[in-house]
Amino acid sequence: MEDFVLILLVFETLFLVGVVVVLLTKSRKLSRLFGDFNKLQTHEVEQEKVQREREDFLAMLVHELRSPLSVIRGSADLIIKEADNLSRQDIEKLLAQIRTSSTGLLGIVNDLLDVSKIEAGKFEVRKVKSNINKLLQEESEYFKTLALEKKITLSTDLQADLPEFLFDPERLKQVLNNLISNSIKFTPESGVIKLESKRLDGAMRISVSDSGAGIPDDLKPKLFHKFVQLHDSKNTAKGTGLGLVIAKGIVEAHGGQIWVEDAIPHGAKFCFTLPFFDE
Amino acid sequence: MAKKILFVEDDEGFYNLFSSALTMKGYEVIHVSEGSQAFEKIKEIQPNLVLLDIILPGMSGLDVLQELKESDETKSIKVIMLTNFGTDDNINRAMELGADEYLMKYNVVPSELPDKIASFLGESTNSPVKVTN
Repeated sequence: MEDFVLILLVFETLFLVGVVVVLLTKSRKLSRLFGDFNKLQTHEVEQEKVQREREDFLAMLVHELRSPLSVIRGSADLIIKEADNLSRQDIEKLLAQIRTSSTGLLGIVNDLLDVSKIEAGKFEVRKVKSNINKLLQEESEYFKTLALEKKITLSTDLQADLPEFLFDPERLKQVLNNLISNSIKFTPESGVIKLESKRLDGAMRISVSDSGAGIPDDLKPKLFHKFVQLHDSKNTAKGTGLGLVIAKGIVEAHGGQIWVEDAIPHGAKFCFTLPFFDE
Repeated sequence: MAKKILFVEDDEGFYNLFSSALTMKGYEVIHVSEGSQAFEKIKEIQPNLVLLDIILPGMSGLDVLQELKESDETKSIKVIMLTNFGTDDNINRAMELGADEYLMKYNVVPSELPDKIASFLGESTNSPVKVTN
């Protein structure tokens, strides 16, 4: 009898061990399955996000193209139909507007072409031996008037005795225009913007810092990517948002790097490096 | 007396274009370029009509519309949304908030805008006056 109970116990134990093994195997399979499912869900969420960003970008682009085109067509229409009723001053204003809107439109088309070349790895710069401080000074003078409209102080702190070196002045101007105009846009009235140049080992570091609200940490890594656009505090951003993508392309075509960090005590500080190349 | 139109528009191109068409037909066009300035100006001048863009610096046109329609002083003022953002969400939101009309800028023929506004305001023509900034 005792033997029978013992055998029963052994069988029962073996059976339970078997059940546990089967359950463990199934649970591993299940957990792998859940893992795969979660990965799939995360991937889908990311895909949906990218798709949404693309759609938003497209909507913004359509808006940016439509606006100058509507103004050009409308101004021409008004001049053709109402020339007798419009004053000479109005006609001149409308013609000037056609020119301004066409220039703006051309700028957008050029930006799109630049981005397409950057993405295809075919973007090129034309380096000539130039003085970077002279360029920074010119940019600072140009933007001072615009900054003053918002009572913003734009100052420079430039490294003295810099040698001339090879870079593309027109393209560098484009980078600086973008960074400084963004700073003016996102800096509240009576704020400050500082333009700095500093010599490093074998390279220059140029920075544009402001006393605005700064860039949220989660946005910093995405800032130089397509489909990402900065919004002001009232969420009323305009423009294609391609400026920083192009700025990154230009800096990288010079062999440099571009990034954003927090300014002290608050605000954003956009920095980029330009390696010295003699020939 | 000339009918007053407050044009809330930050795009200088559109402002020049539509204001030329409207002043030519006798409307007095007053301009503000920031959403945040719009409500104060509306209270101050009590226009017959507000032409309101949506994407504006400082405050969006939809927020201006909401403020305008919530105030007893201004809720009876007619508002035409004049924008290039024609998403269903924006159109529905603007109409819910009390906009009288939603026009897409690129569909508006400037030479036809004065007549459209005249019929909207229930009048025929106006006498020429100046544009005020």
